[in-house]
Amino acid sequence: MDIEKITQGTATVFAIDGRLNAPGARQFREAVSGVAGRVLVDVAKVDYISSAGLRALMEFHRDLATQDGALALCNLHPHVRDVLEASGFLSFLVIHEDRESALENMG
Amino acid sequence: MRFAEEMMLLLLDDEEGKFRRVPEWSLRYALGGGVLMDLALEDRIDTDLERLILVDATPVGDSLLDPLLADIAAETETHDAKFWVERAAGRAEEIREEAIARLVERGVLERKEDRFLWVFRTRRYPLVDGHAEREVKLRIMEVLFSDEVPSPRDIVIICLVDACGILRELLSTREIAHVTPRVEQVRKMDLIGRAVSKAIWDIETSLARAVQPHVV
Repeated sequence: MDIEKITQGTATVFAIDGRLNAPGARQFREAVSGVAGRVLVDVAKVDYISSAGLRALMEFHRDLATQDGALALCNLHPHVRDVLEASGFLSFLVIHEDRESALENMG
Repeated sequence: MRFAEEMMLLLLDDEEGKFRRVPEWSLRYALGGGVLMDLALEDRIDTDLERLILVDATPVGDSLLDPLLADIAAETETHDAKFWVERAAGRAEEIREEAIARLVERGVLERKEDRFLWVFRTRRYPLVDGHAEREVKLRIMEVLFSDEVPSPRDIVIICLVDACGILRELLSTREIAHVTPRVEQVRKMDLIGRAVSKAIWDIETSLARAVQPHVV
């Protein structure tokens, strides 16, 4: 899995390319370790997410929230959206259609 | 502390030193599911909506988890989480005994043999150190009575206590009514937890069908 970290204005963007499964989740945790503030995770190139991936997103969301940060996701693949919906993650994750509108909304 | 140990603590009636009775099948599924969830948090297995996947067959070094991990590693076909919850439930008795033995070993519980009518032997487990029990109850209440996003461990324990009916022992009827939407929200968040609930639901449905075939 490839993870690109980009700073756009006051937000940090992580663009992920690959499967967010157990090994992917480990990589994701390492990539976001120590990151705070407003973060956008662009999952345009993620077509699979497992329990481990969900847990990694949840833990990151909790870490950011304790430091007054915020996590948003954009460009959801239909399968990823289905899994997030089935697991109730859409009730607390902020989702945007694409990166441009996400960054606009995140200020 | 493993989920099976936390569940046995939550089942304990502190005054009597005995474990509360909950439906046998639901406790078996919840104990088996608890071991699967510990394996997931140890990064040994992973799940999606269709499958349970072996990530790493390396033993954890924990006799509560390693027998089931070995089962999963030895299986040649891929199955969903519900299949493995049912398989793990077959080990429920040994999981339960191991969990209680650990609680005694840690000094959390004490094992006491009594005699009833001078003949029948009964066993009690008075609570010696209530710290762990209070801590796990507090974690559950903090999640149920707030809107915070729970931690993965908190989600798991709520899935398990709800699945086997322990929650009804911890809260009043009014409190249960209040937290039910929150419990439903939280228990969706873990895919193995959903499989435990589904396995228990399937059994309860088939029992209801057997008792009242015209209703269900």
